[in-house]
Amino acid sequence: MTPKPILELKNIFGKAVRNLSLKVYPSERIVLLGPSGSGKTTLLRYMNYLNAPDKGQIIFHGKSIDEYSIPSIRKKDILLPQTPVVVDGSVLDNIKWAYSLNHKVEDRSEEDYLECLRIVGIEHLCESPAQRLSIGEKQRLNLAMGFSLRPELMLLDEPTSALDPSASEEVRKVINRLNGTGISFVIVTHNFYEAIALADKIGIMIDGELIQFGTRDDVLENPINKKVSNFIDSHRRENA
Amino acid sequence: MLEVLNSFTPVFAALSLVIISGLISRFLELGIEKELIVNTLRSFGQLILIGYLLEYIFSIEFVPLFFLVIFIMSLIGGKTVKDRAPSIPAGFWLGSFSILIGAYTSIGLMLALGVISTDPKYIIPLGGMLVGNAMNGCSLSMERLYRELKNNREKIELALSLGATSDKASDFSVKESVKAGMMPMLNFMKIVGLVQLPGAMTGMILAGASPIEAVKLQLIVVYMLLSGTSISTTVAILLSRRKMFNKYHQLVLD
Repeated sequence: MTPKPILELKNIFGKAVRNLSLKVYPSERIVLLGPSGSGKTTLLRYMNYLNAPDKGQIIFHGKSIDEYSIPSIRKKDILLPQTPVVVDGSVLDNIKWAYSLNHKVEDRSEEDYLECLRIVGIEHLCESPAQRLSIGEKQRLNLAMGFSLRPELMLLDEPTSALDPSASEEVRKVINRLNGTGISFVIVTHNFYEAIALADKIGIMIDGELIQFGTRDDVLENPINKKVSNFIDSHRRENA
Repeated sequence: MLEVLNSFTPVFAALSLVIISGLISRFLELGIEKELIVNTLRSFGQLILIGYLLEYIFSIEFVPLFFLVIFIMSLIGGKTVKDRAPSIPAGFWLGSFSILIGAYTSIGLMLALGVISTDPKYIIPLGGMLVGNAMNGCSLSMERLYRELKNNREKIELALSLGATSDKASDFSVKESVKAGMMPMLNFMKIVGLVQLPGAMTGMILAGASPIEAVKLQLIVVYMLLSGTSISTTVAILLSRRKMFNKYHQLVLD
């Protein structure tokens, strides 16, 4: 049986996005590559409905999102910011804060919260003040906060753009681990190496349009036009 | 003292004090002489006008009119709220409505408990004080709400994107804003009588009442102002929050 998409965008138009359609299936990792200003971040905000597109349909599990309460979708389809955001208190407090946004903290055991930290590799920091973490640790804490809600889809905006290579590698490992639990990912980046390392499917976005979308190898080996091939070649050279 | 006030002569005599301020301005080259003259004339005119108006209103024993006066005061208060907190959409209506609710509720409760009567000498001055304090509370808290939402945008949007409702995501900002609106009143209560004698009490003592009577009235006034400000500020913030988020729980800041 063909799996059904978790989230589907149909002919989306809006600020910096033009006629964009996309389907996200369970457990897949989609990386959207494109230069700055190509509409990638805007698209993620539409997918989480943090902003509304001007035109087009957003479908969640086969039904238009108008048929749901928006918070009930967002907790299954979470968006994490490019610069990690943490609240005052310990690392463990942050996990509980995220969970408390739409559940009772007591519904989960302490062990459950620690499990969220364990999967991102910062369990040992559970009592540390979150504001004092390194940027890479904060990024992993944000992933753990998201994971505490057991989402179906995580939308990540340039998750490693502010990190050094080793912290970036750690974050990529965490993404792989979380993906192993069944969570799908849509990751926006302009880092070509990251796209290759993480993607099942790649979408190339230029000037607000999804110019090409397909499996990683297909997009890399068979660019649909000169624009895409130039974009891929220039990034290959940068990462060579 | 009251007998002296049968004519305007003492008021004109007191006007001579303004000359002192004028001389200070001239001596220190503050350049506020023109403002001083305009504002002196303005305050003189406004107060004389309101005096005659109140004299007329007091002579009419028609209770709804007293409440209409408070209604008009609330609209003027709403205009001030809009000017002081321009970032909040529909500030005039939000401000006017919130002030009115706070003033009417406090006066209504005091009437129901028999603390005051429907005599205009209670309703109108108390209404004026309630409106003035509520107006300050509303403008302070509404401006604070805007700044709180703007400064904490990343945190609020993270909460929203993790599935929080707009109410939940802005909970902290709302609390801080209501507190900001109530703080001047709480600070006033802390020092009342120690640093300066409050207006109502001073007025009663000048009019010949005993200090204890004056204190009793002042306490009633303070408690009314506290409740009025709390109610108005809370209503203003809860309504303002609805203007800052849309039905899709999206933060809509300009």
